[in-house]
Amino acid sequence: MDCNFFKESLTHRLGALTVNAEEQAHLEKCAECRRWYESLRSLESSLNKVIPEPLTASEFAVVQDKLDTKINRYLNRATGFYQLMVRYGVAVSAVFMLVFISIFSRIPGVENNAMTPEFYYSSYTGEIELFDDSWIDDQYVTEAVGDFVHSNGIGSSDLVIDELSPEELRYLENNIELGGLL
Amino acid sequence: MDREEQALISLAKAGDRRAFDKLVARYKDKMFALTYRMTGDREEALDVLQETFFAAFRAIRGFREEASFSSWLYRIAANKSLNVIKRRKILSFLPFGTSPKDEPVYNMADAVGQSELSDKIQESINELPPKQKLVFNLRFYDQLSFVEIAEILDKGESTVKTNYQKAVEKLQKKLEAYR
Repeated sequence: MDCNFFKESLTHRLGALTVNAEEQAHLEKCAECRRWYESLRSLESSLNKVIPEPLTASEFAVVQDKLDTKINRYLNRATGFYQLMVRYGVAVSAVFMLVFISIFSRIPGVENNAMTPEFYYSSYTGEIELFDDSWIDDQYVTEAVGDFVHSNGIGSSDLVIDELSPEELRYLENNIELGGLL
Repeated sequence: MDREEQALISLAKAGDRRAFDKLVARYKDKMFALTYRMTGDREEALDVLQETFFAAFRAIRGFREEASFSSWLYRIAANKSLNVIKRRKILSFLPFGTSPKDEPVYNMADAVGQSELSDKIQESINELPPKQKLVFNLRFYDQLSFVEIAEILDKGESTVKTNYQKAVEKLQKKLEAYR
């Protein structure tokens, strides 16, 4: 029998220190293990002498009283919040929606293309670029397209259209009063 | 877990206060013994006991019956007790003397009277590092298996065994002269 392993195993058993027949035989032969065993038995006996005073009925009554108060407060708070939400939830949600729409000019959760940056393929740079119409000067574009059509004759707006990306074309159709130019 | 306890747990999960109170009554002594041994102070142990059951009440809906109810409760009580010890340690470093209890005052029913040995044992257990102390109490006094303790502490069984062994060896050394 491996003494180190046996001693470790005995230590783990402290609290319910028993040995089987094989272990008992080893203890009789091995003085070191026997010393260890005796030392653990003595420790076990000492530790068993110290028993905490059990919880008394009056102490438990105090605990239960405090616990009840805490639970009731917790439940009332939870129910109160629920009732408040049922009563005023719709009104609060409506106010929230109005505030959101007035600040961000869009309905929460619904994608608004006019507000959302988009990417497009630029034939000019040959790269994917962010479509950002904030820099476009409506008046300038109207005049430029008008000038182009004026110089190249009726129907030349098709040339302009060919040069535009779909996003730019959509921007022109939606945002600029071009009359019959395009 | 017996059938009656299982029924009580199901009812308590559904919000039945009486069922929860019965569970409290079932486990009050075991939980108090642990919190008292861990804190070493009766008043503090009662507070921890109350906090343990309140936390259990709040969390019982989420209790998945994979572990036993007693292990689940032990886990709450163990964490609460460790928090008290941690708080006490932090407060002891504060300079303005707000430390509530520097040295725990035990009031144990001692089979051989308030002997020197009894005091020495308590002092020695109290001086163990908190986690070793917890493992020692759960194993020696609450008679839980290493598997159960590992489940409560969410640690490996070998870690728990090592902690227990270290605790026992320290106690052996400290109490050598008194045996």
